[in-house]
Amino acid sequence: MATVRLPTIVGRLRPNGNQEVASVEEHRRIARRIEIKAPASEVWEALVDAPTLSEWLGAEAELEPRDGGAARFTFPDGTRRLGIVESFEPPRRLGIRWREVSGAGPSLRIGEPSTVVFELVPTTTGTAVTVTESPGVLAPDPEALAHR
Amino acid sequence: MTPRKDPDPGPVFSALADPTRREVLRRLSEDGPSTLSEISAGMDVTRQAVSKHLVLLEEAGLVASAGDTRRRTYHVTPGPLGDAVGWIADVGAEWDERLLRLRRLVERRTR
Repeated sequence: MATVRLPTIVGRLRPNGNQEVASVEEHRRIARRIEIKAPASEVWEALVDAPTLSEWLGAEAELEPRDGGAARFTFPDGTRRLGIVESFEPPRRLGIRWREVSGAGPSLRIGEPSTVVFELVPTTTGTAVTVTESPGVLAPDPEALAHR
Repeated sequence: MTPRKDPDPGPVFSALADPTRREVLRRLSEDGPSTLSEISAGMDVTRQAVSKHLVLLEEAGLVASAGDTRRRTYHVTPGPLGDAVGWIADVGAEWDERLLRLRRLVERRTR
């Protein structure tokens, strides 16, 4: 699959200093943990295999399973998210930055980016899966990452 | 204020991150509509500083003002607070559901 060429995005300017935003963004971090009775390799497969990912994520997913790979998601309500794989460390850590896009041409709208990170830690009974999602305004733009 | 479809909670969190702005918001909540002089009275920062904070609070949609320049009053409009808290609740609930589906799927496959 070809790398998705993301449209040029002008970052939203915040009216105040970066330090403050950094502490603020920390407040918006979602973290969830679940224990799965299966080896980490099995869980990892479910994260990076697009058909399996689509099944549990509740969105039709395309994913290039590599660092810097492109990802696209289409949700049942028709909204689409474009993303990029930011970290790919099988079978331990998968990071995807995504942002909602809608419309086309001049009416194209780009949502605020956020970064989703899955961390898999083996336990005595299986795997502990942690997912965090946080707005990615402080991190580099996916556009920049796509060209590194 | 008309509700927006996809409110961005960022400015709300930014507005709330500063202790002086939280204090301004607290005073306005407790005292009701107040002028800049009334809000600034007894605060550790200058009137000018309070004025700047009010601008940011207004931009975040947490505060609105009424009246002319001679006697402008400010009041709290708490609507966007719901948007900000809503982001956390919505995104959190989505991941709760997704992770449960992930567990079911993986455990079914490996059984």
